[in-house]
Amino acid sequence: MTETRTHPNDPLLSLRDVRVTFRTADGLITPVDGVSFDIARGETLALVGESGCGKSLTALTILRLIEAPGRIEPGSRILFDRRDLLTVPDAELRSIRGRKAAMIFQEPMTALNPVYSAGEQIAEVVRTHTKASRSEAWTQAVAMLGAVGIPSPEIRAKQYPHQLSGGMRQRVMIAMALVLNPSLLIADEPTTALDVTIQAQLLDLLREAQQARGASMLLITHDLGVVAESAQRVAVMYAGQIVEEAPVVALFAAPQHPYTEGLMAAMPRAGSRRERLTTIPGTVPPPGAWPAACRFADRCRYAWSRCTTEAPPLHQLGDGRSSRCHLVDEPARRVAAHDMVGVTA
Amino acid sequence: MHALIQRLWHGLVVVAIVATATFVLVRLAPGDPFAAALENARLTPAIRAQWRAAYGLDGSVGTQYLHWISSLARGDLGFSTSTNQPVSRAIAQALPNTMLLMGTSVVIAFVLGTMLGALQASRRGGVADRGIGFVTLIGTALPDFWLALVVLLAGASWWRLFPVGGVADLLLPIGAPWHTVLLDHLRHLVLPVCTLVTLLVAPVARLQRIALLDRLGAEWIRTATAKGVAPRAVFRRHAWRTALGPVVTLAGLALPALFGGAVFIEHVFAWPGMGQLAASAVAARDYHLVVGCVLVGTVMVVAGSMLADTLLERLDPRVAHDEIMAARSAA
Amino acid sequence: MSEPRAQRQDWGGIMQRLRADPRSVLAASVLLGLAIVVVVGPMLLPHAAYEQLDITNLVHVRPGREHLLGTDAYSRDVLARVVSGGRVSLLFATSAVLVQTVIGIGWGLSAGLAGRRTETVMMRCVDAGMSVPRALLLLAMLAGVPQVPLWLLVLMMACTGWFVIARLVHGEVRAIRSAEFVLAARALGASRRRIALRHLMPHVLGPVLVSSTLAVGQIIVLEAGLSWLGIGVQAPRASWGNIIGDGTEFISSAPWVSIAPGICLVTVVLALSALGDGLRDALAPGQLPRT
Repeated sequence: MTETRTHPNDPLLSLRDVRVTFRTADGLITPVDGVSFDIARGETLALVGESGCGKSLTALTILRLIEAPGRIEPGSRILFDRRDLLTVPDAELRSIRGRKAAMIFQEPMTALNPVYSAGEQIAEVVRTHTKASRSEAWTQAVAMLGAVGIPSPEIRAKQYPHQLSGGMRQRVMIAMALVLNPSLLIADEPTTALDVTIQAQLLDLLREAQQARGASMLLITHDLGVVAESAQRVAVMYAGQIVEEAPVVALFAAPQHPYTEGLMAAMPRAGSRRERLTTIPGTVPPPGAWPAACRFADRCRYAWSRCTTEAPPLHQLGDGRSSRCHLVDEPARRVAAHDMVGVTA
Repeated sequence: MHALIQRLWHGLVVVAIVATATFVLVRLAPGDPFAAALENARLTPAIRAQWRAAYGLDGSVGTQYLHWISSLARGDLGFSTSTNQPVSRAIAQALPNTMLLMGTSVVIAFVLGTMLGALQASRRGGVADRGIGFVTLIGTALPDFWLALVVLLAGASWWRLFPVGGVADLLLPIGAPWHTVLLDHLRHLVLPVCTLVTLLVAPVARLQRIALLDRLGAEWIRTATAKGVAPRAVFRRHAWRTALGPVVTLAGLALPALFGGAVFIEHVFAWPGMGQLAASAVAARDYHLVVGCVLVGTVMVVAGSMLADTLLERLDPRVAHDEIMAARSAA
Repeated sequence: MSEPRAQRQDWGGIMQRLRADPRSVLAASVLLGLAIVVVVGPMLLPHAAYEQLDITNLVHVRPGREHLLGTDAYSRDVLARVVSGGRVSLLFATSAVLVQTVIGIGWGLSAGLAGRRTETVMMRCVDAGMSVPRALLLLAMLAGVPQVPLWLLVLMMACTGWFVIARLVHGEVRAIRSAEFVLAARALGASRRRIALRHLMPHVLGPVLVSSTLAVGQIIVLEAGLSWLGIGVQAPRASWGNIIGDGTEFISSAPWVSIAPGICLVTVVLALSALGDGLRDALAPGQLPRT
């Protein structure tokens, strides 16, 4: 069933029914199961979820970075600037990677090559896509390092990743991604591995850089605080599926999906007088063990019989909101919240 | 710079320990060091006493040790009774031949080995990978002297392509044109080099393959692909380049075995290098010559290791001096 | 690497993994078969290793029904000599490895538990030992003594080969000595020796076993080389090395003398390498092998 979108007509990025399968010793699993969303030009979409929900994998599909034993199923479509990235020829894909769409990875210590200097790695992007000479590329690299807020960039450019602090390494990654002014940035948990103070700085940096260039950004994170800071719209992911989508303010004001509610309730809040943090009981099921029908049912405080027999579709709620929950059809059930029965801790 | 000084100091300490150990060895040897020379009736007791004095053998152990160390420092390694010349001169004549043989073999083996290992890694699981893997497995199990014999048999006896031994044809006329001389030298070099290369290529290729397969799973490979770098460049620049380090480490660690193996191979091919010298010195009970070979061999190994460490540092900037030491203990 | 745990090695699991690995099973079978042949062979074979059968007519007989591997220059049956030589070579290597392992473990443990200065001196000696080409060192040791009794040769071999194990053990001890369970044991008053024996040894035995297995192969080849040169195992006692040595002069006219023991050498070393690899994999499943 095609789900109509209420977005601007010409989104920069459009994922349609993206499905990723992995062949494991125990059989075929589908960690990304029918994910669809759009990102408009100049917009930041945050993709939120716990570890294991498939958000990082979704990010990797965009630039076709999934490798065996995983594969992107035919039937998935990823439209970037109206070109389907899943079917374009390799050469064209390579010209898009790093130049029109760039990725920022989570752990810069392992994502950066340890035997090349920071400057060399940034210059590599430039020389791969343009005819710049070594010195021109180097100059651009140094300039970019300065632009991302690294002091003494000429010196830092000659240093190796192990000589830089965590925050600086991530700035190098950001510089590498921004140097050719891509129109799409895919940031996979860019600040998760860093200190909270550095987190704030880097998120600001990303936001400013993005706005200055009018670029779009897909921001993967598990931290709702980051979402509030940086995104215009949010998509919440659970067990391989999008369960809710909404503009940021609306989401925080009134979450529709029980999972989103749970996530928000679990956020520690300053000034709150609660003694214990609320948690969502149970754990995220692994891709091979997803429940039939609604995948959140066994952890949901509102679940009833329909939830374990019929998989809820992603209902469109207008105003750019959607929710994958039967409560949309039967809102009366919401007040009848009950204690968890038969939920394993 | 600091690392270099530290390395030099470490090398010096090692050589000092070996010098001391060889002193003990020479002192422990039963019988007179001049026992072989004693058979020479021309030597009167007076001359023998003179030699003893010259070698400080009439002093206490302490003075003898100091004498030994100071001689070594001056480059005086004693007198070789079997070749009738100072040990240092005998070794100086033989060492270049060994260096020629080993230098050529090491360079060829490492170039070939890294290429084979890279080929295996890029076609993992395929026919080439398994075929080469099988050959290299056998290669690591071949005894050096036996392989030398087989190569000699094949090359000089069955196919009569190459000379039976030695470094050059002694019968070549003096005024022969340079290219004939060069060709002759090359012909003599082929068989021993083939033997050494076969022995060396195996472990190099195996290590390179493993190191490369390990690097291919690294995250920075994915980053490079995400930047739009073409697959071949990713393999070369990001995988292979980072996988050369372990091979260089191996080179440093294999040096002692290399010098040791040279003994047998030189003997088979009658190659007048240091290994051959040591082997014949043992038969003639020429302690000083053998010990001299041990010392020079050790110095060569230490020098080679320092070179390997320096190269490693250039290749992999992460490796600080301490890490080099740790890598050595791991292998 | 995660914090080392105080546990006994799971020998049961290790044996299980070994048995499941076809390469290790094959290697172990080959070695076992060889061991049986060299022990039992001399009793079953028609000819003795030292017997010079007929010094005029039976010199260098080609391999045939009467003499499966032919005869050598002294008209001795090559097969008998190879089997007898196998006994010597294998016994030699095993005993040398045992001695060198003991020395190495002792040195490494002591250095690891000693004070800083002693440790540095001890490990510098290990560095020195590792820098000397082993064959040259053995030559130097053998230069003084014309006819070396076999037990002395074993000792000499062991004295030149304990360095790698010492380095290995020392490394493991260093990695563990600040581990929590060791600190706990010391807090409870356990003496250094007790800690060494009860806690460190089990950790160390695995890698030591792997290293020693490979060392047997190295020593077999080294002893063969020295015997081939004439300074290792002395005639008339056979060792694979000196059989090859006997055959070297006649390599073109009677190659069978040298080729047979050579093939035995290659087979044994291959089997030992495979077993060593298998052991390494069994001890640390899932880890990428080091070399």
